[in-house]
Order: sequence, then structure tokens, then C-alpha cells
Amino acid sequence: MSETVAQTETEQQVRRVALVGNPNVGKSVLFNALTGSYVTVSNYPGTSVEVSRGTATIEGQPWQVIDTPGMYALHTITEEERVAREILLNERPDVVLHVLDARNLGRMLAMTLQLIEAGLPVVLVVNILDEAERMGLSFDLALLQQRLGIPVIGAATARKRGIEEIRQAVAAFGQSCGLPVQYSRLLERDLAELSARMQGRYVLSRRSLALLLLQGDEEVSALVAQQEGDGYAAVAEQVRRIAFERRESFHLDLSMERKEIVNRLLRDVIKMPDKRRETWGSRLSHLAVQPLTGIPLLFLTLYFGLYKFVGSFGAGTLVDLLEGKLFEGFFNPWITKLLTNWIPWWWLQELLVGEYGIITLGLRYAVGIILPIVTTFFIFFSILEDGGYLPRLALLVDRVFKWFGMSGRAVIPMVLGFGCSTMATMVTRTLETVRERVIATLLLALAIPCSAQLGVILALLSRTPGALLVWVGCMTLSLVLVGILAGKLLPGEAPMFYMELPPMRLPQASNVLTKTYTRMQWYFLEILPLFVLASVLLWLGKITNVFGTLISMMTPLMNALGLPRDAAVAFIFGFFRRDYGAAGLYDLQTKGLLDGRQLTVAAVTLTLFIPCVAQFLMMYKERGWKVSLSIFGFVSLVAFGSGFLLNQLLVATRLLG
Amino acid sequence: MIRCSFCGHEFEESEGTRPGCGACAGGCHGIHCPRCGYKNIPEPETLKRLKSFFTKTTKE
Repeated sequence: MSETVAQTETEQQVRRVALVGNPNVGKSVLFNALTGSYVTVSNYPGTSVEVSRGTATIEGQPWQVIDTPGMYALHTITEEERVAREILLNERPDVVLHVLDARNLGRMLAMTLQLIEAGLPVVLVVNILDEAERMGLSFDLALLQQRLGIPVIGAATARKRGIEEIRQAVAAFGQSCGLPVQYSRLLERDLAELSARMQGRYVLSRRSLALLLLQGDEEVSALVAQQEGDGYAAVAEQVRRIAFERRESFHLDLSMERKEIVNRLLRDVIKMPDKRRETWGSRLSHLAVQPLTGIPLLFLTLYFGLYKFVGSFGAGTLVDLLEGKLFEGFFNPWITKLLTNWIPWWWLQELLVGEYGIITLGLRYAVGIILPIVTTFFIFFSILEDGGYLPRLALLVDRVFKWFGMSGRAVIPMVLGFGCSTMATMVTRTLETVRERVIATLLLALAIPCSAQLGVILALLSRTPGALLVWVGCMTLSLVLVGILAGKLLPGEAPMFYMELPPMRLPQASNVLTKTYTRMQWYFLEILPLFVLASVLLWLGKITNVFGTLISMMTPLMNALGLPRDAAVAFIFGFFRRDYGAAGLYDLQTKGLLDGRQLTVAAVTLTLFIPCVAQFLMMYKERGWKVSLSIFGFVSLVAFGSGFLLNQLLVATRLLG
Repeated sequence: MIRCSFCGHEFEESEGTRPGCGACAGGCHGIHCPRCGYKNIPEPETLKRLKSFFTKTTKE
């Protein structure tokens, strides 16, 4: 019993500080900087929203620190915002640290006003000050503190700047609740009348509750109804009367008034530079989204990143070194000789080191061909990702995607498709309309090659002058024609696309290396067993002659495309996995079985060819049988049709030999 | 806490963990952003272990 009493007393002595603010303002960084070594993460009761709690010793006193979910206003919309408000209402923190982004002070200060008028013990943390100063902004925070009547601290928590001042402010904070916010005469009259009708005991001020009631906040209405009992009818009637008088304009009036108050508060607090100081990041960001500069920049990025780095260096130099010198020159002859001498059974020799052997084909494809290509691709991709180029690309292509009946948001699955089209097909579910999802799924199945396939094809075609240009032309034409056609045939409007652009920054080597390493690890662990399995299946097909029959069945199709019979192997490989098919094409070319024309036709057909098994199953899962089978049929028709026409054109014009 | 590499949205790792598309052997390794769906790379386990050596997080 005495232990329980002691425990309760200890709990009472521990004071609480809650961090509140918009998402992405650095609350969690501040939370980590304030808390000690023990952190508890738990779902807020009755919700799936996680709340982190930690302990801190501030000026010798124990404190509990609560990191609340992001909220934009006291009038809540999302579950996260409701949880954040519940914490303020139920846990009654001794100090509320309102963290906001110095770069968006004007937009975020309205919530500070709401917290102050709610009577909460607010300390304002103007965070991300370093970035704001880099933009040339300067702040008179002492003036803002004087006007608001609450402590105001400038910080850059990611750089550990201001942490000590925040600790001191938390420890020294009394019960000053800020200077009153003065609205227009009409609104003040409404608030005074409504507040006067409320008699219950509340955590938030009556004035703040009156504002929330007038905004139609259902939870606050229920709370007031519970507290007021019989008196609630009069409150509700008053709310109805004011709502009737104001009609639809209350929300707008309130935000305009708050905006005006914020503008007054910030007069002389923020000093803009005479000439807007642009960082290299904002300058590059501007160039990247403008069509006139963004498109050449995109081509430069693709040329140096994909063509030179992935194509020439990864798929050329590194593959020559690994596949040509290490596997073909040394490892494969050595292991073949070793195992042939040691293993007496021809079928086992064939399985391990035969034409489609696990080691001589599966391992060689995975390590010798695919690994160097995906490694260079992942380095290139991680640099773009870490630098913040991808959202700019989304904005840049928004206009083009509109022709296809999609918005720039669809660039996410399209970009992901270069990594793995199966996963990208799943991500199409984040698009707003069914129409967009179907179009994106179709284009992914048709014209977006995966990274390994792309790398191998770039490497192959760059050896034949003009072949790469023909391939790029065919892919672009297919994408644009099918996209426009789909946009016209499928009814509906392209939705609006808007997104907040995170700042561009110099890619950090540690991030790029970590991301590349993790992606490579996933990829390699995933493909190695599949390549082994594919080798086993091909070996089975060979010894049972099923594979030969399959090749014979595809021979007329290969003839129609002007390709040798053996090219069917690459198409069969391709249905297992796209990259495996591309590696098969690489093999055919190195054996001298394809000339420039045949190589180009095979590359175009294979890239447009039906997606691999996994992607087809994902299409079925996401879009159903009807859509997935239609896409399957359409894509096969377009792929072989394009291959046939391209072959005829190249034969007639005698281009590419 | 993860910051989406595409849209910059900050979210808890648990918010982004979904069943996945099934294409990756051994389940989904990535963390999809709840706002834009982008597949983010989680912190490598070794780094996490190193960090948890200094910070003890209890999941309730």
C-alpha cells in the first residue's frame, strides 16, 4: 500500500512536456534530443496511432516527454490530429512545445494562436532556422516573444542548435498563457455570448471551445454536451443561430481573421532579403521542373547516368571483366573440368555445368551479367533519390502524363517499374482513379523495362551503331501512342496533381551506399534462387525434350520476326523473369547468333513482350481477370506486331545491316 | 521515424509496413510511404542494432 502511495507521488512529481506541430517540422528529432535512453512506443488507446514517450532530466527535474502525431489545427480532421488533441486534453501537459518550421512561419503560426487562446502553456520553437537563414531570411524572435507573450526559441534541432535553450525554457516555464488574441467585433461578440453560456469545467478555455463549436467540431460538441448537461440545449441553440447568421462563411472568415492577425504579428519579425537568395538546391530545383530546362536536364541525367554509367561502365566494362574474364575465361572452364572429372553421371554434370547448368548458366547470369548492371543502376537511382530529383521529375512529366489520362503522381509507379514492374503494379493502387490505375498498369506491362533488362539491352545495343536509337524510338513511340490511345478510349478526367517538394540536396555518400547495398542485397538474395530454379527447369526441359518442343512451337513466330530459332530461348527465359530474358539475349549476341538488325528487333520485342509471371499475377490481383487478360493479350499483340513491322522496315531500308 | 525519399512525408516505420506485392522472395523488405506509396529503404538491421545499443525502445 505504502509502495503504491509512493509510486503515485513519484508519478505526480514527474511533469509532462508535449511536442505538437505540423508533420515534418522536426518534432521527432527534438524528441530524440530531449529524451534519455528509454523510449516507449505504444498505440494510443482505441486507435492505431502510435505515440512515443520518453523520459528526460531537465535542470535536475524528471520530465516525461510525449511526441504527439502531426496536427495542423485544434479543429481536427484526421485520426492523428484527434489523438494529438486528446493528449492535450486528457494528459494536461505542464508545457506544450509547439514546434514549427521557420520557413513557413506565417502558415504555421495560426496554430500557435489557437494553442494560446485555448489557455495551454505554450513554448514556441521556431525550428529549421538554419535552412531559413540559408534562404536569406532573418528573424526578430525577441519581438515575436514580446507580441505573443510566450517564450519563443529559435532552433535547428537536426544540428543540435537551440536544444539547451529549449531545456531551459521548459524548466523555467511558469503559467503564462500568452497575450489574448483579438478578433473582429462581430466574432468577439459571438464568442463572448457563447462562452457565457458554458458553465462546465474544461481543460481548454471556453473561448477556444466556442470557436471549435462554431466550426462544427463533433467531439467538442459531445464534450460540451456532457459537461453542460441540461444547459447544453441553450449552447446548441446559440451555435445554430450564429451558424445560420454566418451561413457558409464562418470557416473562411475565421481563417482570414487569423491570417490577418498572423500578418500583424509577423510585421518586422521576418526580414526578407532584398533580393531573394537562392541556394544552389533551389536553383537546380527550379531548373528541373521547368520544361525548357527540365527536359534537357533529364536527357543529360539519363545520358550520363543510364547510358554512360549503367550501360557503358556497368554493362560494358564490369560485365566484360566479370562474365568475360572471370566466368568464361577462368571459373567456368575450371569448374566444368573439375566436376566432369569428379561426377560420373552425365545428367548431374548437365544439371551443374551443362548448357543450362546451375553454375555455368544460373550463377554466371546472376553474378557475371546481372549483378554489375543492377549495382550501377542502384547507385545511379540512389543518387537521384537522395538528391530529391524524383518528385521534380513527377512535376516535369505531369503535363505529358495528362495526355495519357494520368497525373504526375503516376511517375511513382513508372519510376519504380524500372526497379521491378511487379512491385510498381502494386503501387498503382495509390493513384486516385481506377482509370489511372488501369492505364498505369498497361504502360508498366508494355513499355517499362526493369533495371537489369534495361542495363543489358543498353549494353547490347550500344555496340551496334544506330540500334540504341531505333530501340529508344520504338519504346517512346509505343509508350506515347498506347498512352494517348488509352487516355482517349478510357472515359474520365485526369485528376489534378499537386505535391509539396522536399528540398533538393547534395546526395550523401553514406545514404547512397546504404541504399545501394540494401537494394543489392534484396535483389541478389531474391534472384539467385530463382536463377537456380530456372536453370533446373530448363535442364529438365532439355533432358525431357519439352524445351525443344517449346522452341519448335515458337519457331514460326521467330521466323516472322526474322530471328533465328535459338532466339526463342530468350523469350522463354523472359517469361520467368525479364532480366533473365535479357541475359539470354546477351548470350545469343556474344555467341554471334544475332546481327545488328536481329538484335534490335529481338530487343524491341522482348522489352514490349508480356510481363514476367510475377507481374502477371500481380496484375490479376490488382485489376482482376478481365483487365489482366486483356492487357496480356494486347501487350503480346503490340510486342510481336511491333517486332514484325520493325523487321520489315529494317529489311526494306537495309538499316542496321 | 522514416522520411519518404519521394515526397518527404515523415512516418513511423509501422505505418508503412504492408503485406507487400508478393514479388519479393521472403516478403516485402521495403517500407511503403502511407502518403504516396513509394518504396523506401529501411535502416539496415546492423545499424539499428548499433543504435538500439545506446537507446532502448520498448514497444507496447
